[in-house]
Amino acid sequence: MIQIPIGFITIFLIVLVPVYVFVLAALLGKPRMPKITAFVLLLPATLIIIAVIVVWIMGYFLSFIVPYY
Amino acid sequence: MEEVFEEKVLRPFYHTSRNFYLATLFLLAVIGLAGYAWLTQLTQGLSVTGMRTLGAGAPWGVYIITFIWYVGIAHGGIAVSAAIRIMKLKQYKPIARIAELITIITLMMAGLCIIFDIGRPDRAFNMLLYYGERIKTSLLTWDLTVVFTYLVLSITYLVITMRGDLAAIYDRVPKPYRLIYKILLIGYENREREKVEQVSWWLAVCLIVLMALLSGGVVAWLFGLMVSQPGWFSAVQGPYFLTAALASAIAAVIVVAAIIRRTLGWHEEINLDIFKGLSKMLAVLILIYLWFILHEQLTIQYAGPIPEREISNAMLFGRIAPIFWTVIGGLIATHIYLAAQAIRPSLFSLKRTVITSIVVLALFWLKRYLIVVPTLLYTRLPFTEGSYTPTWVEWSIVAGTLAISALMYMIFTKIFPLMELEHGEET
Repeated sequence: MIQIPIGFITIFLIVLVPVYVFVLAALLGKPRMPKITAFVLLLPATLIIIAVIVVWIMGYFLSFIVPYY
Repeated sequence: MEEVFEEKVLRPFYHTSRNFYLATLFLLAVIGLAGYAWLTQLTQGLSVTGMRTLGAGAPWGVYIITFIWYVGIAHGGIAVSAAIRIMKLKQYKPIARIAELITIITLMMAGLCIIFDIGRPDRAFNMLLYYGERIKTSLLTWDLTVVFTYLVLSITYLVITMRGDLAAIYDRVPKPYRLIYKILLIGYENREREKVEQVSWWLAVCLIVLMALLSGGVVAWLFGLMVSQPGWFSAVQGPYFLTAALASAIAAVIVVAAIIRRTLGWHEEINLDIFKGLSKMLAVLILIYLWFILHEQLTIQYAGPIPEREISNAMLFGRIAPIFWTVIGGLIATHIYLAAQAIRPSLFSLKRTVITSIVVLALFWLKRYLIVVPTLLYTRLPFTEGSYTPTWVEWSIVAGTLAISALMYMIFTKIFPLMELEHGEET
């Protein structure tokens, strides 16, 4: 039996559709201004990378405080 | 005229009152206490909180209640700002950035509440390590995905709409700030305004739809899809949560805008008409929310399954009744006041509106208590009834998140313009 990945469909194909629309609008909307478009799209990417690094650092240092079970 | 306005916007950068320092000290003390409380929790475990396993108590407590409360405020905050941009509601423009900032700060605090709630926060990274495996079925992973996307897009929205203002005042801000401004102005071009207007309009549309799907969807599904928890499993949770989110966000915008208006002397910019409009919206949303409560309780009382009815009885007539009826009475009273004010404008008073909004925020926090805790005390399994009383550790940590929010907001007002400057083609 094939398990339907309901979460994948719900989140990436339904809930996040407006995000894809925004990305398309930024890329194809006029005036084009590729430099500004690149900035607008790279900013979220940078924020995500920073957040992932912060979560990793936080977890790493917290592991010294939380007793090991 | 524009010069005078810019002076007003720049004033907080150069003038700091004694009260600001006192407030900062107080907030730092609260944050320090929260830090100590968290250290206690980290080293001694969650047993220092009032949370217990099913049968003995509630495994979710004030951290999750406050998480939902923050998420609600966050979603509505950006919705207010996005609606102003999409519908070109120029009258409300002065509060747009105030609302955006509320969203970003409260979303961060919501994430922090989850970190406080988990016994092993050092394993938070595991959520990303096992992401691919969990996204198929875990509601919490859906929540992580969408809340995170919402936060990232909200920050993007704030930054791209603020860049023009930062460039306009760059030469007039204190020198130490210029490095931060420089980083935020990387690649800035004078002609980018047109493109930013276009992109930010689409981003606003995206955020509004995402907000409806998040607050009226993913967060609500954390509860609504739990068949094992009486009181949660319901198809109506989406709109129910969405209404609460919008109402609490508007109440938060009223409170924060009034504080800023008073402390920064922006009486002309944030005029009374803005508060009148917001309080009317709040009155309508409270009424809709009361309507949802009636639907929920009527369905359970009329034909609900036994476990559902047990919880409903505890809320309507039992040991949780004082909290339930406080919420109902409070919402009715605040609605009557706000509606009376809308019908007869001579009754309007900013002070009373702000007090009412604070009460609404407190009532929505209590309502989240009624959503989270009672069902965990009365389970479907043959356990004894549990009880839940938050400890000083939990209260201190929750107070800490409020203090961090206030401090972040205060720091922002000192470094960045809190109101959009009228420049470019509009002036």
